[in-house]
Amino acid sequence: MIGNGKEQVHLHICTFPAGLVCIREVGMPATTVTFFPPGEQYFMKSDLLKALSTRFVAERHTLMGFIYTMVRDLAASEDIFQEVWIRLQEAIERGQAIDDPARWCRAVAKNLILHYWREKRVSKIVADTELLHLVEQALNEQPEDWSDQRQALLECIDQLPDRSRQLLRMKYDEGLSFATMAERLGRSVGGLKMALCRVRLALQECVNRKLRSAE
Amino acid sequence: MSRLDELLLLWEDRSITEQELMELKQLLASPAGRAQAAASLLLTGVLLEWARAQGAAGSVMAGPERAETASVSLPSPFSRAALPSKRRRIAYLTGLAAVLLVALGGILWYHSQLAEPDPGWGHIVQVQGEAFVVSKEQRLPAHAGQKLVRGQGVATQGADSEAVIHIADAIRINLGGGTTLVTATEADEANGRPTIILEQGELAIEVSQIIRRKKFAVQTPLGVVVAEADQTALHVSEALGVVVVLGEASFTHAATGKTLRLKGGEYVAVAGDEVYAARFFAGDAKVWSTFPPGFTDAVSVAFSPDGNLLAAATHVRGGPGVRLGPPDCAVPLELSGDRCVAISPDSQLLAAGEWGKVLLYETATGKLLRVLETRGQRRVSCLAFSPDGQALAVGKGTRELGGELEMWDVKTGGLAWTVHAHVSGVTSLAFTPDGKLLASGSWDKSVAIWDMETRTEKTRILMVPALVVRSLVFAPDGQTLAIATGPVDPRIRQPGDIRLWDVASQAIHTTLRGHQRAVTSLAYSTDGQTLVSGSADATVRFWDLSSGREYGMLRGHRAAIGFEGLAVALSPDGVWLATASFDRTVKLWKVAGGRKIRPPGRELFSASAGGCRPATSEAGNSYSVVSAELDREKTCYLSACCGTE
Repeated sequence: MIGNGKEQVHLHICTFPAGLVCIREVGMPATTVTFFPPGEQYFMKSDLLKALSTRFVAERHTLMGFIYTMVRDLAASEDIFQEVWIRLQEAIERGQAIDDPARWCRAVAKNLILHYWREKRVSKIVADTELLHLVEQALNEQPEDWSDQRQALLECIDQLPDRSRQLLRMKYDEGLSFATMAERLGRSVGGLKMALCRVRLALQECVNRKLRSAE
Repeated sequence: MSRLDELLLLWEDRSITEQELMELKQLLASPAGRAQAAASLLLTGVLLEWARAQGAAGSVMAGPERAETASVSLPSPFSRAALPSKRRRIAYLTGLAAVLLVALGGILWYHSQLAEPDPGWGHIVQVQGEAFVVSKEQRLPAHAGQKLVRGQGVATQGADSEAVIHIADAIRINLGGGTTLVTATEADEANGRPTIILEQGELAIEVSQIIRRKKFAVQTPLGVVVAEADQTALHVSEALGVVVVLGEASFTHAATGKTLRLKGGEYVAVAGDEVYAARFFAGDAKVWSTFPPGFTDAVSVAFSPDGNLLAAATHVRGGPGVRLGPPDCAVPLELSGDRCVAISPDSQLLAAGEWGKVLLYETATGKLLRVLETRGQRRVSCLAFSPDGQALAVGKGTRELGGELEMWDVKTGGLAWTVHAHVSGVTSLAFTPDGKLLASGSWDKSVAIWDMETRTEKTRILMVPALVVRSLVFAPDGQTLAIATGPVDPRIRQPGDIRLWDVASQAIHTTLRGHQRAVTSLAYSTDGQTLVSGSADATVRFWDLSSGREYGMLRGHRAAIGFEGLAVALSPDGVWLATASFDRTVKLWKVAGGRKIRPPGRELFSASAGGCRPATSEAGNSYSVVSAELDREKTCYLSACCGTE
C-alpha cells in the first residue's frame, strides 16, 4: 500500500501478459487494471511511484534474465520477479532510501533465489552460490540503460526465420528442457543445443551490427 | 558462439557438468566474461518477454506466417511463356509438385502445431475474495485476466472466496472457498490429456467441448475423473467426492485402480474395495424454519410419532432456540430451549433442553407445562422418551465434564433415578422399541447399554478405532443399534462412520463408510431396510442395509469451515425427511415410498404442491427425495393449522 493517507494505492505488476506490462492499482473505491505496451510511459498516482515503476519496467529484462538463468524454472522465476516488485513497494512504503533500485532489486532477487535453492535442495537441484554472486556482479558492473540493446534485439528477433523462432518459443515460453524439445522435434539434444546457441549468437551479432551502424 | 554463452545455456538446461561449471566460473572471473554474461542475461530476459507475447498471440500469427511461407516457396514457371512447350510442361509439373509439397508440408506443420500444448493452460476470468496464483511455495494475488502457465495453480482462501478459470473457452472451472488446485506435470500428462489436481476444497467443472480429442481430467485424492463427452458437468470436492452432474465421465479409483463409468446424476461410492456409481440428489428444498446467527454447537430435529409435528432445536444465545409446527406449514412456533428436542410417543409433549433444565411443552398449544430442574450445573445435551411415554431420559455433560444420565417420571415430574454413565458428556440416547434397553453414547468414545428394569449397565461398547459417539438409533425391530461416530473435534477433516451393533451377539457386524466428516445424526426407515445419515460434511446419505451399500446422497445444506453438524429425521409414514443444519436452516424434503432410489434418468426433484395439504404417500417401489413447497403466506398454529384448503 502506497500513498499519502488520502490516496492509498496498492500496485501489482503483471509479468508480460501478451507482451504487455500491466500495473494493477487497487484502491478505493475501484480497482483499475492498466496495460502498457512495452516502451510506453507509465503514469502513476505519485511521482515517486512513477519514477520507480518506469525504472523497474525499463530494467525488467535484465532482472528477469538474471532470475530465470539462476532459477531455471519459468513459473518460479515469475514468482520471484513478482516478489521483488512487491518488496520494492513495501520498502518505499516504509520510507527506506534506495539509491540504486536496479541493484537493490537484484540483491533482493539474489536472496530469494538462495531461499528457493534452499527450499529445493531436497530435490537435489544444483545450486551454486559462487556463480550467483559472479552473475550479480556482472550485472552490477554494466551500465543500467539497456534500451538501445533491447530495441535492437527485438528488431533482430523479428528477422529470424520461423524455425528459429519456434525454437525460442519452446525454450522461453513453454520452458521445455532440451530433452523434451528433442523428443518433440525428433532431433538430437546436442543438435538442439547447438541450434539454440547459434540463434543466440546470431541475435547478438545482429545487435552489435545495429548498434555499430547507429553510431 | 562464445563458450560462455554455451556454458550458460548448459547451466540453464541443468545439464552442465562439474568441469563445465568450473570453466563457467573461471570465465566470469574476468571483466570481459562478466560483460558478455550481462549481455547474455539481457538477451534471455528479452527473449522471455518476446516468447510469452508470441505464445499468447500464436494462434493469430499462424495464418499469415503460413501464407508468407507459401508465397515465398511458390515456383515461378508460369510466367515463362517463351519456353518451349515440353520444357513448359516439365516446368508446370515441377511447379505442381512443388505446390503439392508445400501444401503437404503446411498440413504437417499445422498438425504439429495442433499437437503442441497451449502455451498457457488457462486464464483466470473472475476472482472474488482472496485468491492466489500458487507455484511451488510461492503465493501471489490472483486477478482476472491472468494467464496461468504450467506449474502454476490457483488457491482460494476463506469460505466466501471464489475464482473462475477458463481453459480455451471450452472448460470452465469454478473454485469454491478454501480450494487449491495445481496442474499436473508434463510427465503426468504423458497420455496427452490436460490434467488438473485438486489438493483441497471443491471444484465445479463444466466441459462444454472436448478440445482436440484430449479429454479433460481431474485428479483427486479419491481417484482420477475424466470428462468423456461434451457438455459434461462435474462437481469434485472432499465432502462429495466425485459427482457427475451432467454428461458422462469415467473414474479410476486411486486405491484399487478400478475404473467406473458415470452418467449425469451419479457419484462415486466406495465400500471397502468396491467402487460403484450411486445416485446423487441435486436440487434444493424449501426452508421450513431458520435460526438467527449465534453460537451453535448442537442441532436436533424430530418428528412427532403421529407425523403431524416437527420440532427442531439449536443453541442460540439470548433467543428461543426451538421451533415447533406441522411439517407442511411455514412459520412454526418459536419456543424457549436449545440443543435438543424429543416428542413423546403420544405426540402430546415436547421436551426441550435449556442449559441445566428440561422444558416440557404441550404440543397442541405450545404451552409450557413443566420445568424439570436437573441435578448439578451440567448442561442437558440429549433427550429421549421411553416408548411407553412414562419416562424421559436426560443425557448431560460436556466434552470436559462427566456424563450424567437421569431418568424422569413424566407424569409426576420427579427424578426416578440417576447414574454417572460416562467419563465425558452424554451425546445421544436411544430406547429399544420395547423399552427394555436404553443406549447412551458419549464423548468418551463408548456406548453404554442400560437395563431399564434393573437400572444397571448391561454392556459397554468401546469404539475401536476410537471415535466420539455422535448419534444412536435402534432399528424398528430392536435387533440392531446404529452408532454414528466422528472425531473429537468435528471441524477437522477426518471421516466418521456408522457402526451397526447386533443386540443378540453384542458385536458390531457392519461398518458403513462414506461420509468425509463426523456422522452426526441417524434415522431408520420404518421398514428398517434403509438408514439415513447426516454429517458434518453437509451431506445426507442413504444406506441400503441389506447390501450394506450407500445408494444415494443428498446435498441440501451449505458446508463451511466450522460446520459441525447436520441432523436428520424421517416422518413415521416415510413421506418427509427433515434436515436441520449448522447453516441455521431446517429443510423439508418429500420422500417417495419404498426404499430404492429411482433409476437414472428420471426426474428426482420437483416441487410438490404448496399449502397445508395433508401429506400423502406416493405409490411405487422407488425411493427418491423431492423438495417440499411450503405456503409462506399461511401462519400455522399447530392444531389450528391445515383445517381447510
